[in-house]
Amino acid sequence: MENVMIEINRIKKKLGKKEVLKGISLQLKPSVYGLAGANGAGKTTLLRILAGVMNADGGEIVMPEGSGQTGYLPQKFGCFPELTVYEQLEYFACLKKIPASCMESEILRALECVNLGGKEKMKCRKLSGGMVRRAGIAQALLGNPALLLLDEPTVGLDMEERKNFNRVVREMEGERTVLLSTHLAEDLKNLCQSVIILESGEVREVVPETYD
Amino acid sequence: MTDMVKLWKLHIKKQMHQYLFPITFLYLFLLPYHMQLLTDMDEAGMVQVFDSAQKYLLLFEIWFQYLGFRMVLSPELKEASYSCVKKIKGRWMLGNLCFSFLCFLPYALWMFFHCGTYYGNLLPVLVQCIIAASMMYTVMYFLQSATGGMAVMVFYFFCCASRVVPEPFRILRLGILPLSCFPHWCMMLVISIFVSFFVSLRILFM
Ligand SMILES: Nc1ncnc2c1ncn2[C@@H]1O[C@H](COP(=O)(O)OP(=O)(O)OP(=O)(O)O)[C@@H](O)[C@H]1O
Ligand SMILES: [Mg+2]
Repeated sequence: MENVMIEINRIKKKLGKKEVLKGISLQLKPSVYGLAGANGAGKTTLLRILAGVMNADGGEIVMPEGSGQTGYLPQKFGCFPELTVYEQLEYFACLKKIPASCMESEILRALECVNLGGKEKMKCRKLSGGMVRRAGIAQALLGNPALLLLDEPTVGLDMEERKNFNRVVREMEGERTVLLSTHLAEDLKNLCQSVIILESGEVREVVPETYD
Repeated sequence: MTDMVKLWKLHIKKQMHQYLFPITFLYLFLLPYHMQLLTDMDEAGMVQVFDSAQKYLLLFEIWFQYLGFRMVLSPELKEASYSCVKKIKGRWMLGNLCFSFLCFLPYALWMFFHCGTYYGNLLPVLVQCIIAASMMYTVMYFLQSATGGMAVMVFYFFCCASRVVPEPFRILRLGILPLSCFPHWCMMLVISIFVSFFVSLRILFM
């Protein structure tokens, strides 16, 4: 098939005694996918495996050559209290090997995307919950990754920020693969082009969404 | 390489006080104190000096490794960091090691010129620092926590220092002369385990 970016083949994962993922197969094109499912359905587990934080017990993930780094926002993202917002992003930019010449502009761009421009000198311990979440999103956006994995990105964001986030995701539509998990019907409707529904470790269905 | 240097600068800038503390202690307190002890040049004095130098350098090495990994392995940043680097880095540990050696070196050289000819040199201490650092790295690798790694290492350090652990398992050889601290089968075994561990993780080539 043409245009298939990422192929996930029969991913399995067992955590403790529980079989959390029972052979997930998906094909992801450059588009925005919503990942829905009840608590404990295995959304976070799937995203962690795709981000490379955790190894799968079986199956394979095929990514195209040279697709670069993935951006990942964990469900529990925190800020290191001693760092400022800018330094925190600088830390991730270093880990992602973003060249020093464009590091600053890239960091400022990412902060601008989540409306944290002008707050870069603020100490992370003084950030509110929603700001931490946004700093997390900014961190995932660094380096324009071709695959963006966001675990409940809109939790804790106010109306205004949610709208802004929608705008940012819409801008990426068609260029990059975005996989975001959420519990909000509103998010699925406004953001996603397809919705992947997980149920007890299996893909129940992939539903195409249309915007209003 | 440039990204590592940048990361280093960030670490040092943010943890300046924590880094400066052992260094000032070493040069403003320990060095003058040892100088004073060594003026008599008797054998007991030298053993004492060597012993305390070794203990402090090992503790500082553990402290430096902790500072180096504190951010990477912090509960807040761990997950997101792993998605960028996949594995915590042996290279990073080696960087910490080099940095600490750089800080210790003037003191170590001073040591070498003053009790070097007599009791061998300070090389065994630096080798022990490497061993302590790799042990700590391994512990951190499995516990996925910098604080945990430091706690285990400090505990082990005091066990070795107070001779609670039986002789063959005392990999950190404290309170003995440098000449007799090298050829020790358990130490060799541990070193070879670490080497194969590092090679198997392919971190030396990353
Ligand atoms: N470290 C672990 N050890 C054992 N079981 C785990 C572990 N982490 C998660 N689980 C189990 O795996 C299952 C899936 O967890 P996961 O976090 O992927 O769910 P989720 O879909 O993200 O849920 P939520 O909507 O609450 O975020 C749950 O039943 C959970 O109890
Ligand atoms: Mg989850």
